[in-house]
Amino acid sequence: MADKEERQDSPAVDCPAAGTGKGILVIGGGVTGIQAALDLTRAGAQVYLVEKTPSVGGRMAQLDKTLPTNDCSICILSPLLVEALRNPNIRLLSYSEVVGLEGTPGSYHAKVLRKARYVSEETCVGCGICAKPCPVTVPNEFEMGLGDRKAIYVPFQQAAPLVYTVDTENCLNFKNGTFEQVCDKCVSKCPRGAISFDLKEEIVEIDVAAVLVATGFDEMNPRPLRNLSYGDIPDVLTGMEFERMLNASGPTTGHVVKRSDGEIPESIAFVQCVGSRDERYNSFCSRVCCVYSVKQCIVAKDHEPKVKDFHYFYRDMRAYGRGFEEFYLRGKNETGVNYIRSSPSSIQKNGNGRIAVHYEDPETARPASIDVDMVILSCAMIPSAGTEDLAKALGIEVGADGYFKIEDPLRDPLTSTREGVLICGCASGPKDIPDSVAQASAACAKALAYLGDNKVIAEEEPLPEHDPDEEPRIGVFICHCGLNIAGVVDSKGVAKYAKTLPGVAYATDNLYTCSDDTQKKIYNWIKKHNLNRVVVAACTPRTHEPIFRQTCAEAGVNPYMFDMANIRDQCSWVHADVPEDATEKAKDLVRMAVSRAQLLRPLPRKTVEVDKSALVIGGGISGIQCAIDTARQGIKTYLVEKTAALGGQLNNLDRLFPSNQSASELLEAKLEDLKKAGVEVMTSTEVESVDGFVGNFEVKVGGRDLKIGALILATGGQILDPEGKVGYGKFKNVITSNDFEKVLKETETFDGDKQIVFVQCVGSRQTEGYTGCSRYCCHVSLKQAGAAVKKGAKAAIIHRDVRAFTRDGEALYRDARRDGVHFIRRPDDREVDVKGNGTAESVSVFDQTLLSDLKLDCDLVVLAVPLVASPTAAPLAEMLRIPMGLDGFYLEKHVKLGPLETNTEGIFLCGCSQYPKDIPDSLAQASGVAAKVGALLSKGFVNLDPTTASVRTELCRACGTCVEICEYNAPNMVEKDGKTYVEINEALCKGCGTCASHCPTGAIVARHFTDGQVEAMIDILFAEQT
Amino acid sequence: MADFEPRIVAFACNWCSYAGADLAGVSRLQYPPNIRTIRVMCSGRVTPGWILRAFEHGADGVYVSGCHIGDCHYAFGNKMAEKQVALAKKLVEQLGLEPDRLHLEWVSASEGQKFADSVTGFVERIKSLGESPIRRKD
Repeated sequence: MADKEERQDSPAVDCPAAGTGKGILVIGGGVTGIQAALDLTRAGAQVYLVEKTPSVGGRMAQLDKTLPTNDCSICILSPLLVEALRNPNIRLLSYSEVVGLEGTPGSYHAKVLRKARYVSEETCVGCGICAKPCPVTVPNEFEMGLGDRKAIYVPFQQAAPLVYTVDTENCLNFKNGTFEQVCDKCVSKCPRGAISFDLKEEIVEIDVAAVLVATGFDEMNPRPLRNLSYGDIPDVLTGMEFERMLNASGPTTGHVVKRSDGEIPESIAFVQCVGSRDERYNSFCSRVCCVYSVKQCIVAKDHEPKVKDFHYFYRDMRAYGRGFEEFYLRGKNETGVNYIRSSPSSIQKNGNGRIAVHYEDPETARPASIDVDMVILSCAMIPSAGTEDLAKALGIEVGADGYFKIEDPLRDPLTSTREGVLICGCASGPKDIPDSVAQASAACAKALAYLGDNKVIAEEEPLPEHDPDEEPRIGVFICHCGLNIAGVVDSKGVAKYAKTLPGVAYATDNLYTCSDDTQKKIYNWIKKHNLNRVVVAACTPRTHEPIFRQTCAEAGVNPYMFDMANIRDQCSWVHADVPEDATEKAKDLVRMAVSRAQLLRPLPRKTVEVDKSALVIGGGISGIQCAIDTARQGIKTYLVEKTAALGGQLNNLDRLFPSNQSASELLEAKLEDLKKAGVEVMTSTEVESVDGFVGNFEVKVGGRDLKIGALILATGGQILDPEGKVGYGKFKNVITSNDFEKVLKETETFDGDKQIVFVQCVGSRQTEGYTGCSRYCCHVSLKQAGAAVKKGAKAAIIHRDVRAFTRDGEALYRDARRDGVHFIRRPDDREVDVKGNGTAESVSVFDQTLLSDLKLDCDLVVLAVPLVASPTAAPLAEMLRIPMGLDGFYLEKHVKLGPLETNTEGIFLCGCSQYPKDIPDSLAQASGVAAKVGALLSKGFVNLDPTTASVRTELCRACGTCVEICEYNAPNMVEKDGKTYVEINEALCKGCGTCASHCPTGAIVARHFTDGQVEAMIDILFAEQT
Repeated sequence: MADFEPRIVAFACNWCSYAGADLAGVSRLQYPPNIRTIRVMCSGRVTPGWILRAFEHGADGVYVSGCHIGDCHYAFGNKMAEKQVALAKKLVEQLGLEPDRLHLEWVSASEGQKFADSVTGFVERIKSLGESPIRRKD
């Protein structure tokens, strides 16, 4: 194959023809919509982001922590909100709704209703003066009604945009929607004249190539379940209400208190599946509640150690994600959560002022009750209000569950019933954050294909330059972070102190330094005070350095003339009991940062050209999908598979959940797409070596040398060998679920007496070794048992929890029960015993529901064994230097917001190489990676971090120490003009600075962490204080 | 000596230990407010010169922290740190200080508890060693 020539002459083959749409419409400004908008602009698209409420942020902005790392939710979201808001290629239409969509894919014409805020977005600065005199106080939706707001309001402090809105439902000037002025308190107080009741709603018309719907979910109001007393007892709260209560910026500043009397509860009950998995309300599973309630127990215990007991009522513990099973056990082992497998029959006030929870005791199968002080209901996640209206406006359908319908979840898990209208995140059913953002990226890949070349590639401006010798004029900004910092550290005092430090030209304190309005203020202060260096004392640079750097750059300060002092995560939060010491420490940290800032030097933007090509390693369904979507964006794509045939695990499967499509038909269709997209496939081939760096990998594969811009690891997994477990290997009629797929394929009807026993969690959810859940096996056994029964067999499933968490999973479980599949729950610590003579004849187990031993006759035993990492994963990880988890699967960049990337730029993950997944999730992730690859390679170059090492040639003695130390071959010995010295290849240098600390002559400078800068911090720390 | 509050300089690598220290914060784990942390990209960046400089200025202790061996973001930077700290310990001794005043700890990004515990333990150790003789001289 003359691939070089082909690469230049025939790019993408199978792109849908681009139409007249010049941008992409994204509906919904939660984390999913924001992620999609950012990914789209990175790939060069103009984005219209429509948000129904006054602010973007969605549900994630309301959450206190995200699991399993318990990171602060708004803290990891806020930088994305700010980035979206200031992105010149995202036009945010907040407080707006899409009311119509005409046209065809590639050439859609959308109508957007901009509701009247009665406050000018251009003029309002979000000062809040208007809200103070407003005479109307109503419950704040953002605080889930636990806090109040006025009739003119912003939903929360970090709202984006920070613009006030008049709520016409409650403002005295509106009666049934008609304006009649009776109050002008806000209008008369606004110093900028931003409020006007003459403002009108308007229709904005836009031409777009595709539409992404990311409208999320609402929490069901549990009032109809009268037996649970929500609304009757003030201390019965919903999960979202409790989330706000746990939040330090929330209505109780993070204190867990009873609403009835303000006391700390001694005992809290958590109740799962309220209004979900319930035919009367919502038959689907809400997917995230089991683990978020565990998180709430852990966080509540952290906030209020006086809370003694957590009684956690559940039906099946659906801890299916990576690290979730361990998290659930952590709840028990560290926080002491008392897990009770039972659904309360009623929750009532009892005589002693406490709350009685009545339930069936699973240990005795008899009625029981527990007195608690507070109850948290995990309510169903239902489609967001207005979903049906939006469906009509967009001309798409909703499913029986009320969520937007996906036409064919196996072929394309993102496309609605109308081509070019894509559904992602919770708009197509409950999902957690990583699954939602993976889908967001996936929808981008699909949308970009309709956009074709209608892109706006912005020229990157060079970074501001400075005369390094000009006198430092440092601006210092001290954050309150609401009460997170200011509740402990005297932020105002620290700001006052900062003003006295040498080189400081301006210092002040801010309520939320990361909010969009403070960015604007910092911009103005930089301009006004002619600042040339900036120090922010707030949270951690690990999450927030990028947004402050961007503000600096926009205001004309080189982003590397910026430093942060971490006075929250490493100060106020960890020294909460000693506020004076914490304030002293904060002052020291600020003094150190200011001292370093004086020595910071401007660094230029560094770019490196990228090769517009991608190599997908692994030819299973994930790799195939990723290759298709990558190639469709005009990127030369190679797909390498070590075996002789593409398709991976799909080759072993019969029919697929949820649409009952045949695996071979799906594979055939995908292979057809692959061919059309022009992907170059290499089977029976393995990657031999990889060198280079982002955009410029040099790959030896199948005897060829390829230059590759991006690498995708789609190496999948393999089925654990269950040898020795549950009679496998001992009895020939004990097989794995993979083997049973073949049986199903070959069997028309089973003999009516055939008794098949399925055993779940064989090798997974163990106390040692494979501790996690393999995520998809419950669905597989439900599907197989259902199919076997339909073909005339009798089937039983022995399980620990039925984890049917997907959109259609609960229906699959329900149908299996209806069709007569016998479900037997065993306790975690009771094993399954298979007996027989040559062939297995019976299966014995303790039945947790009947509380007795049970013996089942069997003709066939099917073991649900977990997926383990592919044997090629480890050597590849070593070759590419990317980290693996203890479970042997690759580690993603960020557990919530970076599920598709690895820590190494230009290397991505999809499918089961990350952890076990079902086909729709794998496909979504694969498409998502394609969008990321597209964004990375679209501009033809990438920015490199300039904080690398450099060599002062005159000091270099060519000793070779650095050459020996460096793992990345960045230092090279060169000979020029008769002198031998070292040069650093900055594209290879990762900036660790180890060479600089070992250079005997001090010739190597670690650019952003110089000896001088660090020594200045040490010196100033111990300098005599005046 | 009862009210002696040690002054400790800490160096933490960006990827593991600094992240672990952040996690201690996120988890609201409390530890004594005696350390002042300087973030570096890799523990391999920490030089014996910096460590000695801190002691010469009167630091009562120096705490260096990086990724676990085998877990370094830059492959082997922490191995180099291990050697540098071992060298620095000898030099600290020559300064006339107890080598125990210099401590190296591996803390991963998920070990908030370990960070809090090890800092607490180190502060206790320095308290039992007493004020740095160099600081006393000043």
